Amino acid sequence: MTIDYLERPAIVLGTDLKTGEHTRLLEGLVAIVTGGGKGVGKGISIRLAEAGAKVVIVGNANMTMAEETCLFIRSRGGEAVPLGCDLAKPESAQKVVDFTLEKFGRLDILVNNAAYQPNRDIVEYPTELFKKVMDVNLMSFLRLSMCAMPHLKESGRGRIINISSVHGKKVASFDIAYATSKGGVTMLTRELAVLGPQYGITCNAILPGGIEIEFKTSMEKGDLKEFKSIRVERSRKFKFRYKMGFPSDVGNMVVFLASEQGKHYNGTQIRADGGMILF
Amino acid sequence: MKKILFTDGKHPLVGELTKLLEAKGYEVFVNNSDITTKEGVRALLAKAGAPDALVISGYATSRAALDGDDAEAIVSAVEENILSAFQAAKHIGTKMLEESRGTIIFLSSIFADKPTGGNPAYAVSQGALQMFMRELAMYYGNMGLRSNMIKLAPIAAEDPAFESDVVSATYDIETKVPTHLRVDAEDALGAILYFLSDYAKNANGTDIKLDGGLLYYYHDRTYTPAKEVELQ
Repeated sequence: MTIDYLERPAIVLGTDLKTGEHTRLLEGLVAIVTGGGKGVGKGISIRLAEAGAKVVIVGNANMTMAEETCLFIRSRGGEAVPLGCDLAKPESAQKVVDFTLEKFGRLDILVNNAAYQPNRDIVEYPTELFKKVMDVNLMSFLRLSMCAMPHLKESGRGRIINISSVHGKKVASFDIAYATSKGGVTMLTRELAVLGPQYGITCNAILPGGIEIEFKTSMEKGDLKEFKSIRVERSRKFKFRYKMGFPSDVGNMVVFLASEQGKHYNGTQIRADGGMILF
Repeated sequence: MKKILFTDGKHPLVGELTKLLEAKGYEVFVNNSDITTKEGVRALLAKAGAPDALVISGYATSRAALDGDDAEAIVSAVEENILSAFQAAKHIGTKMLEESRGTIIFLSSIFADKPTGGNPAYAVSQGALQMFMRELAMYYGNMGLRSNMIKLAPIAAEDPAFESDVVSATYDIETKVPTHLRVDAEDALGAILYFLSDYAKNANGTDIKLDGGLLYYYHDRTYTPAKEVELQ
C-alpha cells in the first residue's frame, strides 16, 4: 500500500493581521520526532519541516526509513537529520537530546511518537515482551521528556507532544500491553502539563485512530496476516460511516500545538480518529 | 469462607481493610513480596491459592520529579506497579478462571485521572492500570471473570507522598469536598463487597470514584455545610 504523505492541505503559515505578512509557523525552531521515519511519525516530521522546523528523526536500528524521510524533506527544501537509536534502552534518551543540540544547538519541540505493538492477549504475553512495550511506548516518553526539560525551559516556549492512541481511552482488545502503555501516557501528559507552565512548556497528547499507514514491519508473519485481516474487516465495516485518515492529519495538529497559536492548549487529549471511537 | 488476596501490603488502607474483612468472616491474604516476576507470583499463588477477590493495589510511589534528573526512580516505581499487576492478573487470573471463581478489583485512586504534581510515578502507573483493567474486563470478562476499579481520594491530608506546590491535591474537606467527609477504609470495604457480590454481575470495566466530589472541585469555591446555609 502506498501512503500519500502530502495528502491534506498543510498548516504551515501564520498571518500577521496588522501587516498582512505571512511567516512559517515554526521558523527557526528545532524538533525531535521519535519513530519519525514511517507511518504517523513520518507525517509529523514532514509537516514540522514544511512549517520551518529543523527536525531530528529518530528511527530504530533499521535506519532506512528515517533516512528516506530525511531525503524527502530535504528535496522539498526542509532540514532534517536521522538518528538510529533503540529507545527501549535507558541511555538512549540522553543520546537523542545530545545529538540534537550538537546538530542544531537548541531544542523547542519534542514529539514522543515511537510505538511498539506486538498484538497479543494477556495470556500470550511473555514478561520480557510486555516490558519492552512499556519501555518503548511509555518509559521512553518519560525519559526523553525529562532529558529534554532543561533545553525546553531554555527555549522559553517548549512543547511536548505525546502521540498516544484512541486505545489510551478505549480498549484495543488485541493488545493489552499497548493499551496499558497508552493509559500511562495519558497521565504522564497531565503530570507534565501541570509542571510545565512555570517554565513556559506545554504538554498535550494526540490520540490517532483509523490512520492509513504502512503495515508494521516489526510484526511476526502470523500476527501481520491477522492484523491485516482485522484492518480490512474494520475498513469494510466502517466504510460508510467514516473515512480513514492520513498521517498528515496528525502532522497538522502537531504543527498547530507546537506553534504560538497552540500555546493555550495544555494537558489536553485530542482525538484524530474521524469519530471512530464513537461507533 | 471467601478469600481476599491483596497484592500489595504497602497500600495505606490494607491493614485496616484486613481487620474489617476478617471481622466479617473473610479470609484475607496480604502479599508483601516482589511479584514483578513470574517466579514471584507463582510462589505467591502456591502460598495463597486462587482467591475470590484479587485486589491489585500497586502502591509503589516516588517523590522524584519530572523536572529533576532521577528518571530511573520514576521508571522503577511505575514498572513495579505495572509488572506486578500484569503478573498477578496473568497467573492468578488464569488460576481463578480454571477454578471458575472470583473477581478482580483494582484499589486505585483519583490520581488515575488527576495529576498529582508531586508523585508522577504513582499517577502514571494508575493511568496505565486503568487501561489495563479495561482490557482485562474485555478479555477475562468474556470468560466470566470481571475486572473493576475503585478510585479513592487521597487517604489523608498529611500524606507526604502526594504533597505538591504545583497541584493542590491536599484533601481539604473544608473547601474542596462537597460531602465534607474524609475517605476511609470503610469506603473501600463497601466497594470491595459490592464488586464481590452478585449485585455487581454487570459491573465490568467500570470504576467507582469515592472522593466526595473532590475530583470535580474547580477553583476557589468553598462548600458551606448545608446546616449553615441560610435559605433565601
